[in-house]
Amino acid sequence: MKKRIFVAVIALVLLFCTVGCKPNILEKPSDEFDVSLSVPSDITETLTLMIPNNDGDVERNYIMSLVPGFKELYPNVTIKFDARTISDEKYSESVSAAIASKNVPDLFWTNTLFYYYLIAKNCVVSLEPYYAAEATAGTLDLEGEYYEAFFDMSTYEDKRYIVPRSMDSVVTYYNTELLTAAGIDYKNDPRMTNNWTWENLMSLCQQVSDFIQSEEGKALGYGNCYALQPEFSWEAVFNPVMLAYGSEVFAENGDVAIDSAETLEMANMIRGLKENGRVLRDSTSGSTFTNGKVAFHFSSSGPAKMDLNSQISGKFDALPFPLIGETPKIGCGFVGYGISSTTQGVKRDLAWQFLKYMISKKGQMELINGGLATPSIRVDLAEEKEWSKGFQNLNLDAWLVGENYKVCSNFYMKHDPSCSFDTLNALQKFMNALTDGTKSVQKCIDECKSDLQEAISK
Amino acid sequence: MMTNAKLKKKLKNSVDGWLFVLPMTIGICMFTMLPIVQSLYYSLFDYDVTSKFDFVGLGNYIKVFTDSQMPKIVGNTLLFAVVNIPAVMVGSYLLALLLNVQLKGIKVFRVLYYLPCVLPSIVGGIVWSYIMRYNVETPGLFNQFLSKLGLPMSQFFYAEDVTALLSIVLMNMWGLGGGTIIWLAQFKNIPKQLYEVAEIDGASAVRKFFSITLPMSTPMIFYNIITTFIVTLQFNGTLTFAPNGGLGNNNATYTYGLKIYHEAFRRYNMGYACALAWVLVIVMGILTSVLFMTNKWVQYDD
Repeated sequence: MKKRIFVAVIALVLLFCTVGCKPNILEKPSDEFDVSLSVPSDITETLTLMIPNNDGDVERNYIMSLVPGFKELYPNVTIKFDARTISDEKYSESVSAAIASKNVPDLFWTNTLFYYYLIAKNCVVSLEPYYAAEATAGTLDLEGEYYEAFFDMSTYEDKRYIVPRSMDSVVTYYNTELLTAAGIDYKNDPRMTNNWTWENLMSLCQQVSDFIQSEEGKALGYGNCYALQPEFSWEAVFNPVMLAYGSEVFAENGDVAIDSAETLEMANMIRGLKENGRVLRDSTSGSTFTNGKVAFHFSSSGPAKMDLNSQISGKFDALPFPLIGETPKIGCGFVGYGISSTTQGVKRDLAWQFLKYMISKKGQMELINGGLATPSIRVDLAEEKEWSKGFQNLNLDAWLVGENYKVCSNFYMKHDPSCSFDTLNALQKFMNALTDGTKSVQKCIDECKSDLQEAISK
Repeated sequence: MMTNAKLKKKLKNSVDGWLFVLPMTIGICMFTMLPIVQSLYYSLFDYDVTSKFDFVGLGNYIKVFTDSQMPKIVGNTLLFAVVNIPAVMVGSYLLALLLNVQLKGIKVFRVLYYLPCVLPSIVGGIVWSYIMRYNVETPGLFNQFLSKLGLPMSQFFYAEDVTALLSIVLMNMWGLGGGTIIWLAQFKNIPKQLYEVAEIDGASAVRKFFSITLPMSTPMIFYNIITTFIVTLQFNGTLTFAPNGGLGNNNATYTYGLKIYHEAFRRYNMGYACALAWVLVIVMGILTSVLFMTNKWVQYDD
């Protein structure tokens, strides 16, 4: 009797595993499907958006600001949130958990770093059918009204997958009070223009560094300050620096190419900064730009967000990312949404309508009024500086100039998305090691090569 | 053969018992047996949780033995086991001997030594990452102490060599209280008459320890060796404090348990992670069998 029960239980478990527990897998969605741009306004439906739950409700507030306007168009549509932890390490976990539990949202939040994962894992559909339909109907002029490059950034195999809600661009913030104390006339200094170069930045850093190490600087309380907080381990900074030096992470065939003469040159430059005592490795020492202890800082935050830091409030301005060499690059990216491959038919058309509303002039204004502090992807709103009310006296062009130089980080697309985290980790470790200064530059490069080879070995 | 009537009667009489064990049976089936069988099933597939579930047969198992990271990982795991198991065993045993003496207020010490075991491991990780912090500007407690003594600072688990693993062994000493409780329970089970007889015979404290306490503890020593051995091979505690997502600098703290976690939840190679887990089960099974075959030194009777 006991044996029979035992065998029956085992048989049931095996049956359950092999049949009942076959995991939920997303098939590759078709790139061609019928779309309709005229969704009935009386449609009753719920759209679920996956958003971050670890950003202090910033994204939720942005989207909530869109809801009243969207409900004017579709009064019976409910916007629901699926808030999950989103970080470099947790994004894939959050997406996987949603799929494995069959709670797939209709719209996935993503940015420059994560969209490749969504595409490669069959999570989002190509938006080309919608772009084609809109172009035919003449209802969406990407070329004329938008910074089209940000729509193209999510291109994979010649198809675009993500609609950006805003654009990010790395700029150089500077502390006006600290520069003034160091004797730099930041308003008239010929080195500080929207065309400034890396050499200009280095020259200014040297001047600041000399000041803070001088007896006068120490007496005035600037002894624990730094010239530059570069955030070299942030891919939006190290990627353009590497590219400007001609350094590549992977070769065209996918092999690790970090051990090049160009990388060595770049690494020596960063090590030189460290050895001259001008670079703050990270924020662990307590001296940061946001607490007023650093002269220059690379960041993509909008001025409104930067002004929230009381120690720097009202004492900063910005310049573009400095141009390096003959092929300068500026790090940039987007934040946006993709439509889930599991959302189909009229609901998918409705999701598209939501995205289209998000990038409309009205939608973008609502996002701005809802607190969006980075430039709009609409040319008119960006150039009119509508996106940063109260800060129009600052150099807001810093975010907009140099469009030809802008690049997003896509080096990890040469390999499977499951390698992305380890690839990024290897490069962050490399940049930190360069600014730590405890190992020789060549050893840092050798270790990075080894780490990258491990990262892509599947 | 049991007749139907007898079977019905037996079932009727035991229905209460069945009802009592039913919740536990369901729980074990759902949360223990099902995942075990499921992981065996998944280990035969290239499964990435979202978009891939392709049958690969023994491909994942072959990969375990051809993975280029394996020599380093197995080396780290073995080194950790070789140092950690004796350190934990001897440390907790000596601590138990100290806490077994009859002193006023000894219970307070017992509680204090057990306290770290009730703290969440993540709290312990954070505390120890502060204590062992290697930063020239703001060194951790240990490095401040070393500096005061005029000694060079240590990188502890930020090091790229064996120092990182040894730091984790040192950190594990914090949780000795858990093993100590088991030893104390065993000491209480040793008949007092044995000590009384030894005292009448004029045995010294050392003689009593080697002739009574130690031999009488061997069943528990054996149990502790096996459990510590299993826990050590599965160890992935570095996740909470070591650099590079727990791998350490230059993979200095990359152990087998961490490899399973890394493949499952960082790279989403769920099939491969399941195969890694099953290989570990088999290895642990073989080594535990070896331990059982060589347990003649264990004294199960008085």
